[in-house]
Amino acid sequence: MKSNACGALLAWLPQARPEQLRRLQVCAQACEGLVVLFRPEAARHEASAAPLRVITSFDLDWAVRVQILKRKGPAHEGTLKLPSVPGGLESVLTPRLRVPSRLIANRERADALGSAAPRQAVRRRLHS
Amino acid sequence: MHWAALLLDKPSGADSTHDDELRGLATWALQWTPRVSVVDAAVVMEVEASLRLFGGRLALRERLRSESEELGVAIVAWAPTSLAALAFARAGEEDGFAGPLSEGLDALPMDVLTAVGPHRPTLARLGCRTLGDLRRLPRGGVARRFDKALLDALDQAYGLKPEVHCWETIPETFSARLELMSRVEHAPALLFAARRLLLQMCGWLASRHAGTTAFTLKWAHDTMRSKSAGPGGELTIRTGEATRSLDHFARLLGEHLGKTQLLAPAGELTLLVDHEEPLEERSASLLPDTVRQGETLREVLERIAARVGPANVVRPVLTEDHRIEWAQCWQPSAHKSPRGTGSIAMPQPTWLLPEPLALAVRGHRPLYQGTLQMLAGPHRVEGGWWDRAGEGGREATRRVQRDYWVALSEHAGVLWIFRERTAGDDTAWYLHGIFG
Repeated sequence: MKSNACGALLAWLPQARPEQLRRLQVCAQACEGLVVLFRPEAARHEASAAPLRVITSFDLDWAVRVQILKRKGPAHEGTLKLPSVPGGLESVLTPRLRVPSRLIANRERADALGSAAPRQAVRRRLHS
Repeated sequence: MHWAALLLDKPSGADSTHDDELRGLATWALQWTPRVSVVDAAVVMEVEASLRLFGGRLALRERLRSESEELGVAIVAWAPTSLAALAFARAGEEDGFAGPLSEGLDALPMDVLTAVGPHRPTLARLGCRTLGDLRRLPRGGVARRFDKALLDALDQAYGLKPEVHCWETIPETFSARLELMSRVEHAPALLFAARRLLLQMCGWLASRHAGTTAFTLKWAHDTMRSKSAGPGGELTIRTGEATRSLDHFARLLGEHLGKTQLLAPAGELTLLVDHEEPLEERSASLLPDTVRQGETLREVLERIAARVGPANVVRPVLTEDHRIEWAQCWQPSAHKSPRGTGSIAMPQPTWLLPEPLALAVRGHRPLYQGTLQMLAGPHRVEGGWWDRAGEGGREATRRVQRDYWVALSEHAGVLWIFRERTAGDDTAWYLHGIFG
């Protein structure tokens, strides 16, 4: 960060202490690139010097739920739902797979891949 | 003509150390102009043709002064002739261009010309104190009574007679020696003295339009060492790309010296260039562009690698393999990055488990934090019989026969699981990755 040589910097720091985070924040302010720290969700109740803190979790229907813990300006209530399909999966998704929550909901009644014995289903598909 | 004279700090010493320093200074000076000469224990250089290249007279003077200070130069003086520049430097005046040359020189004491030396007592008895006094003596008398060298030097200093110089040439190999002022006991303290050598090296590289990828710093222990310490030690620094950035060299050397233990106090340093490569420089742009501050990413990575060990700074590299475990590998960042290989059309997870995790099965269906919902698959990955791992008798092929599925868990997200096909009738399910 001090050398300001990178476009973005990602770091996983599960055990960072608040004073260390403060020092990192001072360095990050001088850095032109984006600096992102990933910390466990348990750290949400600890104080942090970061100007923006978000919690992300996944949503069944190809989306990311983002909850803003801290930001500049007034606090933000509620959850943002941002569409997000993992890279590489876009090409294999059929329209039916776009809403997986519906699939799970009616899994008990009828299901194409899961309910019958999957081994046979696989064989059938491979031999056909 | 625009001459500069560089006078070293300790002019009296005529020993070999002084000679080494002069030689080093001349080598460094060759980056500014090819016309560099060693005259009377000083380095003189003619920079008229280089003025524009280095941004004008004032900019060049400023750069020369600040950089030569680090090399132990006491004063840099400027004048239209080399002897005049030297005379001004010895008299402690910097700018010989302040007024007409003859007026400026006339006021200087006559000792500033080396040719005066042998006749100084006689001239002093004649009542001469300054160069002006000397010049007012009748020429014919001076020529008869003193030698020809005195009149020649006088004429050359005033620009009445052309000067002849023996130009310095750029040495083919770089090797600089420096005797330390005091015995150094801790390796990091060597950096201060080594910086002077590095500066000379950068000058040499600049004059050859080259950069270096490897240089060696050697130190000799002083004579009072214990027998076990040996005559000295050395440290070779390598860089990934040819460069001649002084700051980068100094930082790398600092990191390495910080980890070095001196066996005995060191008394002398030598710097050698092991490998040089031609270096293409970027030309300065007409418009002011956003100048990058600080180091480049490569320099930063090299410095971090010097601190934590090269094996701990790695970069991912794609390899041509369809088995996900071997489709990538981590290489030390110092290695050249290979060209990217073609991507695989199959879905690939963002996170890969180090080892596939065996999943529980209930009713022919794999479980991971609840029942999994299969989304897409199967994608078959098979082969690898050619790839053998292990030694001797425990050799095993890394053959895989897998059907990969993209599965959705209500709690764990989108997963990448596979079924081992060699497990016979026992369906063996494994979790292998997680989609981000």
